[in-house]
Amino acid sequence: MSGAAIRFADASVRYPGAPDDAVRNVSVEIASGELVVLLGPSGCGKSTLLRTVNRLVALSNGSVFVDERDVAGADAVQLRREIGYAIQAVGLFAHMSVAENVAVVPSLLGWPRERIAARVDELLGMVGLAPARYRARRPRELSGGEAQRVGVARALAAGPRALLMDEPFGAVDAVVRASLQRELAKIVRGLGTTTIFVTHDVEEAMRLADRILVMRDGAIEQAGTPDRLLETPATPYVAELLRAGDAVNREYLLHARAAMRNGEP
Amino acid sequence: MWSALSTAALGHLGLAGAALLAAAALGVPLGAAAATLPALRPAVLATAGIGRTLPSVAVLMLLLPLLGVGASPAIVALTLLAIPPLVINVDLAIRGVPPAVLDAADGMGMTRAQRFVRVVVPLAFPLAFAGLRVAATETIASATLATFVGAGGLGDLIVRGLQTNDTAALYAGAGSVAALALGADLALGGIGRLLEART
Amino acid sequence: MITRARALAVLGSSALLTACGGGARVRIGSKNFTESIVIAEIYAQALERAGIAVERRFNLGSTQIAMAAIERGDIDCYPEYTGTALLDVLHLPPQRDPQAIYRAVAAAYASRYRLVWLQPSPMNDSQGLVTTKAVAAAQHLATLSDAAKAAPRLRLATIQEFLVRADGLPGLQKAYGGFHFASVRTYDIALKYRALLQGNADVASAFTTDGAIESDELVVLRDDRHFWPAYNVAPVVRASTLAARPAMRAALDAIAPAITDRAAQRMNAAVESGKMDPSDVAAAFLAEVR
Repeated sequence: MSGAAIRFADASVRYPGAPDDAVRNVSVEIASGELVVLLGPSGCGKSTLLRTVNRLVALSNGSVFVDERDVAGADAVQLRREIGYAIQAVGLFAHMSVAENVAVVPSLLGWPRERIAARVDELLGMVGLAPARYRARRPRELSGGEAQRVGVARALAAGPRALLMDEPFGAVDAVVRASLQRELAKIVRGLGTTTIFVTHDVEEAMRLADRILVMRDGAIEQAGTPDRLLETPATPYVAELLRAGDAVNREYLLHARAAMRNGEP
Repeated sequence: MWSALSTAALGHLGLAGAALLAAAALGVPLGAAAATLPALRPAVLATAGIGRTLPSVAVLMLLLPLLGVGASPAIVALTLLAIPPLVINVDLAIRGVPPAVLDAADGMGMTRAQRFVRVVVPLAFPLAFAGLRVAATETIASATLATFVGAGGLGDLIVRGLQTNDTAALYAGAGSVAALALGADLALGGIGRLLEART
Repeated sequence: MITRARALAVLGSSALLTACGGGARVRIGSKNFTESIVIAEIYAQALERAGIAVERRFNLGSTQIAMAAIERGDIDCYPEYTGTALLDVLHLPPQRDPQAIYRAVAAAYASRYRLVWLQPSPMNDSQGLVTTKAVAAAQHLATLSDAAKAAPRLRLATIQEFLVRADGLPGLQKAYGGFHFASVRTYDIALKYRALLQGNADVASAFTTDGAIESDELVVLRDDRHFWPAYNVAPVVRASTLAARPAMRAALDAIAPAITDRAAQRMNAAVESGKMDPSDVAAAFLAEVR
């Protein structure tokens, strides 16, 4: 399965009554299977931009294309069922078991029961939760890391070709976060799912991204591979953000990135 | 005396039950409207708040010019008194669903209706049902006012006890009201737990 | 200058007064309906005019409660009805002659309870059944015997007490037979006639001096078997209180003849429909008596 290609064409968002655009004229292409990180401080528009892809946020101007189909013309509900969505608070449904949570989108799509059950087990295994132990658990019985894994499994359950993630590991402690990052990268690369990942954590961006889109005040300040950004930050803002001038920091980040590739913690 | 007691108790439950059903039919949608339409919320909640403080007999007497005597003003008064706790709890319950959960539901491709039925209702159910329990015990206690307008109920026994200095009737009437209210609370508690397990 | 003799005299007489039970004030009670309160207020003001200090303890409750209060000594005096005493308190069989009833209850109360009946008033607040002119015509009701037979087609509006007291529905059923109503519903005493007038009931229990009965629409059914005796009102007083304050008798006997049926009905209506205060109504009554 190959991931969807996503293209923003002069995309702008202005919330009703707001003085400025939350997203300003963003044009960028994301290739099939890419893991792109939207990096920036809070308020820079990264979450807003993310949510224009599955139309949780409406564009005021411009377009977003998923596999060259304008999302504005699609049925929003159907679109969302084909795009995975995982958020920081996870939003697991407390009245459902882990298995029922993961099964939500497949059941919305009308899959037969056996297929759903098999798929749930497959995904739980994929995110490192032994199905026999976790299937029947309730969300309140899960740790932060376990809940986030279920969230990822739920987002991938129906085999979407694109995955949107909004600071999914932000509320998890550093040790768990590192392993979640590594496992996520492995999963989505293995599946070929195009992934847009929002974070404010520079190290996380460095570890995960094929390309980083640095955002500031609603616009993309620089887009490029992590190496390129560290070597040649386009603006003082990017340099400041990455602390690219700090040699020790650069080494640290590059090392972190390499370690990810090698499967080290 | 026992046949008088059982007649009165059955009548009492009938009045309270009718009022509760009507209150649920009106109060649950009202509470849901207050929760989902911010423009309505202040007015609905303020009215519910005032409604909770109204003395039940006063409400009954105010209805007499409109409805005459008999079961009608009694049931209407009891319904009006049962609506506020339902409205307040349903509103709180629906608003208590975490925004992240609603966002996740939307993002996964649930329609509004599916989100309401599959996510909001099950999560809101416990608190909303608690409102029903409160309404039930209050309604059973207040239904003693039906005796004033010839609608029967355990109030008849209480009034008989007072008018004829019959302490047995008085205790039987008052004690039965308390027992019914307690019983209803326990029964609804059990039903609530059963329903929660199944959603 | 206060001499020792005078001081002793004052102390002695006040001790005598307290010992005779009653202290400074005579406590007047009443039952919990308009007429009882108004008449008790009349008694109270009559005593006050005679220079006797009074404490009011009105709205006690039913006959049983008032009797319990006077026996315990919580009150000294309250207005009672001869018929009620005969049937409901003493459980004696009904009689026709109002004078005979009075003599019987006075004798019984004196020996059993050490309570004294003062002079009765002509007012007869009997019980009755009332219906509307429309129902009377449709069901051919003129007497209680008619109603007794027609009862299975009729709905009764009444108060709880009527269902229990010996001179209420149980007594009617014994005296007339029948009287098995299609339905019996009890109301707050203020709403009972409303049920009748609004068509929720066909027959209502009544007291014959109720203000509401004066209405053009209502008909009192004739007690053809004379089940209900006279219910003449009179002050009932504790013997000990009367002994300590003999002036009570003269003061109350003086106004007793003025309490007629008409006077009672007018006063009841003034309070219930006219929303006047019972003490004002009583004062107006006494002003006319003098």
